[in-house]
Amino acid sequence: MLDATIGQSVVEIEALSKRFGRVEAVQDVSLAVQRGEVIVIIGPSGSGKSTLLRCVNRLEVPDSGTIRIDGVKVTGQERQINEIRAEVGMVFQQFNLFPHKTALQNIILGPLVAKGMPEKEAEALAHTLLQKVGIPEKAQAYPEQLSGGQQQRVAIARALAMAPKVMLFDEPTSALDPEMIKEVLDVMLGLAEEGMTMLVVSHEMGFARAAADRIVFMDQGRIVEITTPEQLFTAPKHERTQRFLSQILP
Amino acid sequence: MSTSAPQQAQAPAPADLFQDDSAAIPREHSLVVAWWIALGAAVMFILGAVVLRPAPYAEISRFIGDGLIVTFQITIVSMTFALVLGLFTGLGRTARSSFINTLASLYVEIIRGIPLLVQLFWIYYALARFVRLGPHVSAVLGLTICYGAYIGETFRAGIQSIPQGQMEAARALGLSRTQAMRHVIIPQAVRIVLPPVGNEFIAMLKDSSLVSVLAIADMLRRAREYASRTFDYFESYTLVALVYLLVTLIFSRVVFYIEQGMSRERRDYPVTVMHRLAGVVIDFVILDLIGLPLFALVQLAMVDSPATVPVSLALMAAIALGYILFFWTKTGSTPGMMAVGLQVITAQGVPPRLPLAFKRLLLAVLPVPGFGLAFSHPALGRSALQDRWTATRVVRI
Ligand SMILES: Nc1ncnc2c1ncn2[C@@H]1O[C@H](COP(=O)(O)OP(=O)(O)O)[C@@H](O)[C@H]1O
Ligand SMILES: [Mg+2]
Repeated sequence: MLDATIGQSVVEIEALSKRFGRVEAVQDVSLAVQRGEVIVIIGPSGSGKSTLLRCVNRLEVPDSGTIRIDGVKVTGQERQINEIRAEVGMVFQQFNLFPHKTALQNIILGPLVAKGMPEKEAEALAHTLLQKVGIPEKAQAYPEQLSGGQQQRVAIARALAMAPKVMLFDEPTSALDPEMIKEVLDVMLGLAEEGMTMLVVSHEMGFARAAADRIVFMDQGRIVEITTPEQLFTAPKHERTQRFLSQILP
Repeated sequence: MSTSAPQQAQAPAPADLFQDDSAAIPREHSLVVAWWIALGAAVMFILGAVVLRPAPYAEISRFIGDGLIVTFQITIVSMTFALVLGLFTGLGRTARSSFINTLASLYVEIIRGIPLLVQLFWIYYALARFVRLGPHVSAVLGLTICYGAYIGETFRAGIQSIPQGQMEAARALGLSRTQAMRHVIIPQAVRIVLPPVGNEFIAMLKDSSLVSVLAIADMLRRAREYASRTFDYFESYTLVALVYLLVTLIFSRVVFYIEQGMSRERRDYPVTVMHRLAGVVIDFVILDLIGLPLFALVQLAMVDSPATVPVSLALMAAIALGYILFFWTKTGSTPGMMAVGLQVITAQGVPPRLPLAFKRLLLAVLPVPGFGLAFSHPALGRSALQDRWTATRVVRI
C-alpha cells in the first residue's frame, strides 16, 4: 500500500499554506494519501490539524498550494466544489447533526438533495448504514434523544451515505464521555478494515496503533514527522514528537 | 437524558434561547396573572357596557364590528406580504454578495428610520404625483414595506443564531449554499423566529389603526365616524381601546404558548389526567360559557330591531348549545371560540371570497386553539389545534 504511486493518491496535498491574520495555521504542508490508507494526524492544540482537514474539502480556502481529490484539482468553482465535497465525507468533533431531522432524515438528506437519489432508495441505504454503525433501532430518533456516541455514529452514517472516496475525521471522540469513545472507534476500525481511505485527527493512540498506516505529527502549522505506529511508539525521531507523546501517553 | 460530555453543550439548542429557568419562573407567573386580570377586565367592561348601556354601546359595537374585520383583513394581507419580504430581506442581510447585502441593509436602515405614519402619508399623498394608489393598496403597501424591514431583521437574527457547524455540515455533504439554507438553516431559523414574528403580527395589528388616516374604514375610523355624528367620543374610543386590548391579549397568549411549547417540548413532561381535566374545564368555562354568550351578545348588537332581542337571545343560546354538542360528538373537544370564529367567517357579507383553505386556517388558528388545554400542557394545545383543523373539515365550510 505504501509504495503506491502518486497517481493513485486519493488525496494529494501540495505545498498547502493557510493563515488567519497573523497566525500561520498551516505552512507549506504536502501529504499524499493512498487509496485504502489510514493516516492519523496528531499534534498539540493549535498546530493546524483542523485547518489542514478543512482545506481538503475547502471549508477553508487555502492561501496557496493545491489539493487534488482522486486526481482532480480542487478549484474554488462552486459547481465543482459541491461535487468534490460529495466525494469527501467529514465527521466533526461536535457531530453537527441537523437537530430538526431524525437520524434517518439526517442520513438521507445528502443523497436526496445533492445526488438526486430517489427517496425509497435513500431510505433503504440509510437503514443499511444505521445497521452498519450499530443503531438500526434509532432511525426515527431525533439527535437530542440520542447519546453523544450514538449521535456521532449517525454523523458517520450521514457522511458514508454519499459513498465518499475518503473520510475526514476531526477529533471524532474528543467531545464524548469516556464510556462512549469505544463504540465510535469500533465503527471507525470497521471502516478501516473495509479499506476506506481515512484522514483522522485523533489522539486515541489505541486506534492509531490498530488502524493507522502512517502517523503524521504536526506542530505550529508544519508536518514535523511522518512515521509508522511502530516507529512512533518505539523510537520517535524528533525531540518535539517525543515530548508531545510523553504528554498524551499515560 | 443527556449523557454526553460537557463540551457538547457549548452551542445552545434553539429552544434554550427563550428560557432561563431561574429568572423566568416568577416573572412568567406574574405575567400569567396579569394577563388573566387584563383579559377579565376587558371582557367584563365590554360585556357590561353592551348589556347595561345598550343605547350607545351596542350600536357602537355594531358600527366598529365591520371595522374590526377590515382591521383583520388589512393586517393579515399585509402580514403575508411582509413575511415574504422579510424572509428575502433576512436572507439578503446574511448573503455573501456584498451588493445584495448592502441593498438589504439599506432598505432596513431607511425604512426603520421613517415613522410608519409618515410612510403611509408619503405613499398615499406624495407618491400620487407619479402614481395614484388607492387607499387600500397604499395601506397594505405601507404596512408591508415597514414590517418587511422589521421582520427581515428578525429573520436575520434567527438565521445567524444557527451554529456555524450546521452550514458546514451541510456544505460538507455537497449541498450548495442555497440547498443548505433551504433544507438546514431556514427550517431551524423559522422555529426560532416564530415567537418574535408573532409579536410583530400583534404590533402590526395595532399599527394598522394608522391606516385610518387614509380614509380606510378600519375599526378606529369607524369609531370616529360614529363619534363625529353622535359626539359619543368617550364611549366610541373607549370601546375601540377595549376591543384592541382584548384582541391583542388573545394573540399575545397564542405567542406565549408557542414559546412555551418550544421550550417545554424538550423537557417532555408527561400529560396527566389532571392536565386534561384542567384543560377541558378551562376551555369549557372560559370559552363556551363566557366566550359564546359574549359572542352572542355582540351578534345581538348587530340585530337592528330591539324588539327581537329575547328571540335573538334564545336563538343564540340554542346555536351555542348546538355547537357545543356538535363538536363534542364530532371531535371530542368543545368548540369554544372556534364557534365564534366560524360565525365571524361565515357571517353574511363578511369575507370577500377568501379561499377555502385560508378560511379553514383562520378557523383553526385564529380563534384561540385549545386555549385551556394549551394552558395546562403544550402538547395538549397542539393536539387541540389539530382537532380544530379536523373539525373545520367536518363542518365543511
Ligand atoms: N477561523 C479562524 N480564525 C482565526 N484563526 C483561526 C481560525 N481557525 C483556526 N485558527 C487558528 O489557526 C491555528 C490552527 O488552528 P487549528 O487548525 O484549529 O488547530 P488544531 O486543530 O490543531 O487545534 C490556531 O492558532 C487557531 O487559533
Ligand atoms: Mg482542531
